Amino acid sequence: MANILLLLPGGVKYIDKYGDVLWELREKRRWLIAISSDGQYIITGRIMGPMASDELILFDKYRNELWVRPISSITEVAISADGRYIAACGGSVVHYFNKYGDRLWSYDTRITIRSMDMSLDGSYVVVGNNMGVYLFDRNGKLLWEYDTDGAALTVAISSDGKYIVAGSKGGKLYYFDRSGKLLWSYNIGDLISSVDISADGKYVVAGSYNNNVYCFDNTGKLLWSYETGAWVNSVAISSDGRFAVAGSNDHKVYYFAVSSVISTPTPTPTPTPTPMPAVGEVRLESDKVAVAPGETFDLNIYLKGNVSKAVLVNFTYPNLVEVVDTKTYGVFDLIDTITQGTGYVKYLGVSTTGVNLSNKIKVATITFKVNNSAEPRDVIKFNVSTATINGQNVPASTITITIVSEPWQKYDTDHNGKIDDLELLQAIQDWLNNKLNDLDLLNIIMKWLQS
Amino acid sequence: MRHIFNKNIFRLSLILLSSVIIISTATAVSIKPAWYYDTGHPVTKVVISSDGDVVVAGTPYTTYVFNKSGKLLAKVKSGVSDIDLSSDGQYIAIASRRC
Repeated sequence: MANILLLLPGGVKYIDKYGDVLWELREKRRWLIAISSDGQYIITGRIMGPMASDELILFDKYRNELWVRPISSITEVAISADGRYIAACGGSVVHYFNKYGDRLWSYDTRITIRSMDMSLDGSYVVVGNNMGVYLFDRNGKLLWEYDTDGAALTVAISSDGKYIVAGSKGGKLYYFDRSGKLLWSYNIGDLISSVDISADGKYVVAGSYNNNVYCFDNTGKLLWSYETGAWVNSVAISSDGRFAVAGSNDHKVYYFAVSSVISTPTPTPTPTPTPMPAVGEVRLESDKVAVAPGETFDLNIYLKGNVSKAVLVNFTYPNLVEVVDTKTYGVFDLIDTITQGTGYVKYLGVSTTGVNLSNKIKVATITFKVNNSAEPRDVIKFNVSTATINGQNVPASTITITIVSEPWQKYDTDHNGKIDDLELLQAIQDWLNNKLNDLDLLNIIMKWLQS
Repeated sequence: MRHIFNKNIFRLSLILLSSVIIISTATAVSIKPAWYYDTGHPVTKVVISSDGDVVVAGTPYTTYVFNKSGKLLAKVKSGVSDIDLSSDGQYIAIASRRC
């Protein structure tokens, strides 16, 4: 259950994600807040107004006030995942504390600070001020600084502190490595209000006053953008880089499934595996879902189950394909028995004795070659006829592979009978890498033009 | 066919055509949001949990909590100026707007 700490105009509220209040602290101040990963510690900045110094206060999750330290003109607070380190910015100064409230170091950048972020364990602190970006290590050593195009209004650092992203008032997005090397930059052209980076630094999202949300990969390639109805105030990306969210002045919250775009189409995608049941199962998986006559593909056999006696997997496949190579792993044997059936003429079996398969394990790989006699739209179906573990039948998957002959069909990864832009791009990429010949590319381009 | 169709011209035209496509698609890769929610007020801050399961959005008047499919889990009458999110997504911190 996710808990939420709310700081109301009249105080602080600690609620769970369904809005139930766990505790409340009433005080008419403006607050800043950050929370440790486990939710054990809450660091707050209490803004006291012009007559008194602002305060940095550490609370535990039971609302106990652990310590208070004065910080003038506090603007940013951050806490490491384990709550051991705390950073706060006040005016032009960065302050760094341990969890006991000891000030380990302070650094005056001499220019008003606008943004700050901390790596997961507190090893690195990135700060953006009206001049540029600064990276500090845990000991307060300034590792580097970089002058940005206008104020660095927003900064973010990857969980491991390896990559840093910054967005400037002048509309430039910067991507640095830890050593301060600018790996790439991108001119968005209008004020960048918010940036975020995935845990591994692989994806970056940015929001701008030009109304757009942008998503980049770590090479600086623009993966996508989306135009909202007004300027974008805030963006965030999930640590795993799969989802992004944006808040816009058009009153809307937008949720994006980043992965629907970043999964680059490949000519032969791997079928999505489904979870294994606990009892035991046989799973067939192929490295390709569509193959051309003359092409080879691998069929992998996976087993799961608590096997103490024997495993036997028999499966049949049509005579459109022939086995060119077999490989077994561990104690498994491949039984190659040929029989005559209707349409499906062959079967292969895998067997063993006395093995514990509490985890999913790959037991065999069979490489097939598609006969040249195979016709387009022919289907190769691998049907498991018998799968027994300890003499008991277990569920088994069936796999279907489609024969394609037109070069474009291999690139039609969504099987809609058309070549769309991304599929064409993949073909061009393969062509540039000499994986595809000119005539095949021409065939794909013609199909794309028809689509 | 071959004597009227120079291979180099063929390759060149392919390169030109493909670069046109690359340029046109590179600038036009668009995405549709999985969902959106109209709060009726400017959304000033958003945060998302590590796994994308929880989203919190703040406006000057109300704080909204959603799950990943866009279902509204909670709506709290409380304006926010800042939100922070713990790295494991278990806790979300929201700071009040100036009062």
